[in-house]
Amino acid sequence: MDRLAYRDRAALPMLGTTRPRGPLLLDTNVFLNALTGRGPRVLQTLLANLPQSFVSAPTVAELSWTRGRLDPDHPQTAKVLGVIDETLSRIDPAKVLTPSAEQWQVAGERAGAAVRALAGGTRSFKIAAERHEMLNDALTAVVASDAAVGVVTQDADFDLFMQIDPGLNVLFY
Amino acid sequence: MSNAKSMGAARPQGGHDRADSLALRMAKAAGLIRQAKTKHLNAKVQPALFEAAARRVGSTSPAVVIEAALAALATQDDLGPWLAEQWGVLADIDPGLLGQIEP
Repeated sequence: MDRLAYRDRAALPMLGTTRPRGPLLLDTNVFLNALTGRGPRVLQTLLANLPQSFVSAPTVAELSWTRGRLDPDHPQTAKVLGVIDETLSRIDPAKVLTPSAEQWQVAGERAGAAVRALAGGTRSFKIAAERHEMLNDALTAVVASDAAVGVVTQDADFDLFMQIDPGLNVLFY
Repeated sequence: MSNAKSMGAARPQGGHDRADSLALRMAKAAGLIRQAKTKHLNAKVQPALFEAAARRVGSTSPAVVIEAALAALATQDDLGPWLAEQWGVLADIDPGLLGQIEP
């Protein structure tokens, strides 16, 4: 395998120019970009016409993070938590892809490979949160690939996971 | 532990056959195709519609195609359309607060 590196965005399968094939998994950024209205309209159009939506267990954890993390004294915390709770309740438990012990192992190896390729270049990965984020992305990539479900994301790290696992189908936006 | 799923493996062991219908697997997991097949259907459909569905399923058997189509319908959810309707519902939130939740 060639050295891992981010490819030109023009070379990636993009929502709007690449037709979705089969069922799709929504990465965490899809939820946040939809709820904050920051995503592109093409994403809203996709969502409006999506008959099935899969979610990885790490995304459920990242959305649930808000309940413990948000400042309880902030005047807008209750609104955010209400929306996040409603969002979580809308996720079909049967469509949450939960990694097995073996998938955790594979994801760990792939996340490590991605960090090794990038460290010292565009990113440092000196803080734990960055490593955890890469691991969560790797877990999402592994469970999606094994289930033959495509990933919808804006996260460029999935470009690396596509290069590691040619069976992984990703639609970027 | 097996190394079959090591980095770069084309298709990890334990992964599902891509030709297998995900909707059928979900319907099976939900107990929807556990019963004996006793419901009889008799319907006329447009040949082009049936043939397009048959190509997707990989079978020209009406029973197989109809079962796959029903499984796809039965396992639909409304998460995507609901998210589209909620577009921008948190647009007015303090960026500092949002910064606490973004991974």
